[in-house]
Amino acid sequence: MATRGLLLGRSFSLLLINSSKMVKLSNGYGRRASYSFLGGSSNPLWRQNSAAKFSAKALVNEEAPDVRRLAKTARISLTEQEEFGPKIQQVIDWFGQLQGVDLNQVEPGMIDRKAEEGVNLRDDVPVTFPKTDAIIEGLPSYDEPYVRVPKVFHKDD
Amino acid sequence: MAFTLFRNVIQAQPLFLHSSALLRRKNGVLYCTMKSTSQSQTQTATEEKQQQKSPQKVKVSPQKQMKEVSKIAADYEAVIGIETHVQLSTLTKAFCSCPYSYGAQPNTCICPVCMGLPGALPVLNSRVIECAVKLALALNCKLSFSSKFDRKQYFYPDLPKGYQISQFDIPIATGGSIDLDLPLEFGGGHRRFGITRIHMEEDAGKLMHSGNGSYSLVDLNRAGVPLLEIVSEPDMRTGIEASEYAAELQRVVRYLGVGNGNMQEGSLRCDVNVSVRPIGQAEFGTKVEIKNLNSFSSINRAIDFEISRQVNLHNQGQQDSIVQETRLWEEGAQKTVTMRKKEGLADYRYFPEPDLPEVVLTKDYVDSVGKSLPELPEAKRRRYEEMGLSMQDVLFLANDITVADFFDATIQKGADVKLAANWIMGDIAAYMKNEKLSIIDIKLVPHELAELIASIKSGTISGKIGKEILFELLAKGGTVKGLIEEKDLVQITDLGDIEKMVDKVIAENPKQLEQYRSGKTKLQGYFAGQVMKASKGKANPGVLNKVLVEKLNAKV
Repeated sequence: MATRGLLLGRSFSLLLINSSKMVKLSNGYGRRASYSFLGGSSNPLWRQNSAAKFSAKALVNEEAPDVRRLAKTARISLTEQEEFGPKIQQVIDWFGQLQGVDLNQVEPGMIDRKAEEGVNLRDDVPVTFPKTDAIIEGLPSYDEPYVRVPKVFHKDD
Repeated sequence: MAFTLFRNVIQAQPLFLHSSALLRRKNGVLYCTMKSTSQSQTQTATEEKQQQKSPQKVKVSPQKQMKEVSKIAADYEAVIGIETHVQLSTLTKAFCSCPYSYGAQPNTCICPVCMGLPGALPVLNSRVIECAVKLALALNCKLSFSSKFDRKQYFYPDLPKGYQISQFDIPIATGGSIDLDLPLEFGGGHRRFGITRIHMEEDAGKLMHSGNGSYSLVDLNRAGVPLLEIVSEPDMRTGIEASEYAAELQRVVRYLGVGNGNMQEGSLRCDVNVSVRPIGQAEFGTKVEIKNLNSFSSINRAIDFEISRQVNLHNQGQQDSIVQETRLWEEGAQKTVTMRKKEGLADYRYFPEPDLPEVVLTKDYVDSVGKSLPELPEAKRRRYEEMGLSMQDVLFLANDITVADFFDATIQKGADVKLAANWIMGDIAAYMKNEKLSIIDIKLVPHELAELIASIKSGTISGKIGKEILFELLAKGGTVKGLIEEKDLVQITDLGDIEKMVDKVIAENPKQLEQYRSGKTKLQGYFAGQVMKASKGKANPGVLNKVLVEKLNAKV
């Protein structure tokens, strides 16, 4: 798939979301989990009070981003992988400046609460969407009453 | 693939688990005495092979299962953890107002939100939080008063958005436990298993693979339906403990009314993780995940099979061939098979869901939900035990909340506890099974059952008549008093009345009287039958027989 212009920008940002700070964790059963969020060790950024422990450099991946793997997980075909590696690293480093902030006096928070006034919840009252036909019409491949999709056996393929 | 949090900490096994393991071995020896009392502790490969044959039978007797379990328990310890997904029975989906009903026409309960169309935004259903808090309180969990949603990203045709909204590092509840009683046929005993966490998430659609074609079919009705994922601590040690854990979860879910917990329908799904380690070893062995378990008995049999398989490999020195993988349980062949050996693990690229605010709970809210909880199965079982009921009765009555409520209502009207239990477990249960009705559908109501029991106890009607009335009450309803009057069923206990009837019957049956006198004392039953017939079943059997014996033996 050619990556040009707008498409280039979009796929680049997708790659970024997928690559920003992979931290491999090891837990008792030998399984690995990955956090894609700027944060060190086993706690996400918001829980750390002492950012002083981590310098921007220390948190940044020692190895260059594995662009091939990132593209695979994001399901993006790239014709030229080399150019993306350094660009992704640049953006990570740029965000890495946040590690220099002293959070000792700051209360951990999760989501920007000022934007919401209270929690946004919905009552459990059914409402049928009136234009389901329009949705069905918009499907690329419909085999009434099912959506037809290519055969994919395993979730990790 | 579900993310499992199994701690790296060397778990100090609680003492009771040790003693229960001993108990099992003791029981095992009890059952084994049929074979030979001196059983060698070490297992040979041939012994293991024989063991492996039996799990392939569909019905393994409990005794045999326990024998095998205890044989394995001698050298190895199995460590089992379960991840359960409970589909909530809310009226609408988790993040949109689409109504969901199982079995609806495919792709009709859809909208832009659950279809993942551009621009659509999720809004959380308040009832999902309520269900999560209810379940968390019922499982003695610690609630997170502030939790968040995360995106679990992967590509699959049944996942419209390309990510599942779930909770990753800050689930709504952590650190709980569940209490259960093992069924008597498996040795009984009380168990407590830990719950690591409970979190909210959404379900994916249903994917159907076509036979030979290069395509698959998707029904997205189920996409967006709310789920609660419950991850257990790896506390279970045998297949029966695991299946009872699942059964108790189903019981709790149904008691709370948060879901119908039906494995066959897919509203309760279990994935099991099994590993074995030599007894005394601190590190866990390599764990294997088992999927495609559709019933509690499959959970039981699949785990026992997998334990045998792994122990067998250990015994043959091939423990390294046990790899971390996902295996499928094949119900027909009664064995687990490799789904596919994975290279590396799934990378879900979790990050906080930016379209949803934090989930905030207040103490008042949690307290009000707590107050609305019904009496839970564990509490009910302990209360019934204290009332003097046998464990068998307790397990039956507390299994279904509607049956327990019926029982409670009956004894509240003053009925005798044991008699009420007997009626419910006996004739009433049989009727329900025959007519395929639940206890709410039958026409009999608790206070009439209490009335029936009281009437028999007071001697107003005989036990036999009571059974007849019961059938009528079950099928058509009505009142005990009404039926007694209508059909004139009051028991005849008056000595004089009975004597008159006995005299009449004796006079009408001289031949039988002769036979009785000459030695055929069994004919007393014949006379009793005749009197019963004459009295339309109303004669009090006790008084009747007393009078018969007198009169039959008296006259010369």
